[in-house]
Amino acid sequence: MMPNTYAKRETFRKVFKRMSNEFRLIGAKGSFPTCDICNNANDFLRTLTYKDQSHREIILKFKRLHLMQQMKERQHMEMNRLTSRLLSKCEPVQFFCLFDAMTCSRGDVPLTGAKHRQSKGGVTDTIENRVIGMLYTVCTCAHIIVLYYSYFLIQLAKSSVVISMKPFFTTPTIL
Amino acid sequence: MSSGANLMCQVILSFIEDLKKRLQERGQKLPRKGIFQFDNSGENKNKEVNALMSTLIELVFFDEIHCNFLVVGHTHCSVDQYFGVCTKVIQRKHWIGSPMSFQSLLKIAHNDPKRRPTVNRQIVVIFDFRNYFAPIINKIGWCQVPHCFKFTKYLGKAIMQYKMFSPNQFWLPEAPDIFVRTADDLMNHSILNINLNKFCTIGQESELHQDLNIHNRFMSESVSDVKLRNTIASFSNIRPFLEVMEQTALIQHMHR
Repeated sequence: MMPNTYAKRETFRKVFKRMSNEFRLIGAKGSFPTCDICNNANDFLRTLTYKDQSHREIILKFKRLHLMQQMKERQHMEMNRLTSRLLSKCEPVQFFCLFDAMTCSRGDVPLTGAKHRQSKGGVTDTIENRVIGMLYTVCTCAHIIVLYYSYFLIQLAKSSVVISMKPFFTTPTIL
Repeated sequence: MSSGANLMCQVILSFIEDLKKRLQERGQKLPRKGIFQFDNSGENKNKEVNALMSTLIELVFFDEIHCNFLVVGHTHCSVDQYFGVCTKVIQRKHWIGSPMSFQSLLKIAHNDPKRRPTVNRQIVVIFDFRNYFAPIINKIGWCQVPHCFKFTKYLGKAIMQYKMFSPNQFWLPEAPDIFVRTADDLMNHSILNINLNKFCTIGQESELHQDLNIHNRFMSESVSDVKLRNTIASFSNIRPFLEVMEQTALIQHMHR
């Protein structure tokens, strides 16, 4: 049982309502931003100018139709994934590949030499990793996860090596 | 140089290489059609990736390539679930000493061996695709907005067509079957801007009309039903604001 000295939920609701013009929701799920149409429609619904219920209904229907489009996109994606499992004369017809990247992580580069001791603010060179995962489907190989990752030295761009691309396509040994 | 479009192009090529090897082990060939599904971010949806796809088509590695993009903020899938597992494992560790230990950590992140990645490869060299493709890239306005792209070959040249959403019936711009006879003529049919209709984010305006049960928004006086007449009037009032809202969202999407 909560002590009587604690504010009830209603108190918070009232304060939240009173301050509703002073804050804006970021419109994100964790670190993932939500889509601009949904964000703008939500902002539009929050504005005081359009308190008319019929207007609100139209905006909600607009948003709902937009969400329906997303659902159709997902269905299309699943259909592609299923079609990729088909075979024609024992050979795969198509492949499906879904790419996604993981949030980058950064760490310090070990320092050497006389200036190896640096303050936290003084650290200029960091190492960043980038993990890209993918899920592919082709013939009977369904939902296979593949990971690629690479490391970059941040703020050391001058030392990176530029490789000419020209010979690449003339020797397509990989394919 | 080593991130963004260059990394993505390199990963696509590495993936094709790995897939080819895997299929070869099973005595199969790489299929002639590929479907790539990406997140709707600038790293994936850019001129360089499009140019790479066109190159793969022109060099006859594939007959048809589709690039589909899910809507921003609604792209979570089973790979994200695997990343969640990886993140938890990384958070649990106090210290990861080297890239090699990080690699092995990712390899064994999942408890279930069947769900572990089949390929776990470090990309050591990243080619400079951006500079390589720079002289041959066509600049197309509003290219970041559509969600489906198709690359095929036409008169020996790779052509790119788009659809706003996958349920749309036609690929745009329509293939010029009648007028074009040579590859040089084909270049005259290339577009500079992607044509965006009003209410393209929901398909078509008629879908919203249908949802609101409006057949003609200009005929409000002839409607006998008072409720419907009010709906038409409300829609006429709010329509310009919806247009502005959509336009703002598209511009925000372009600058992402």
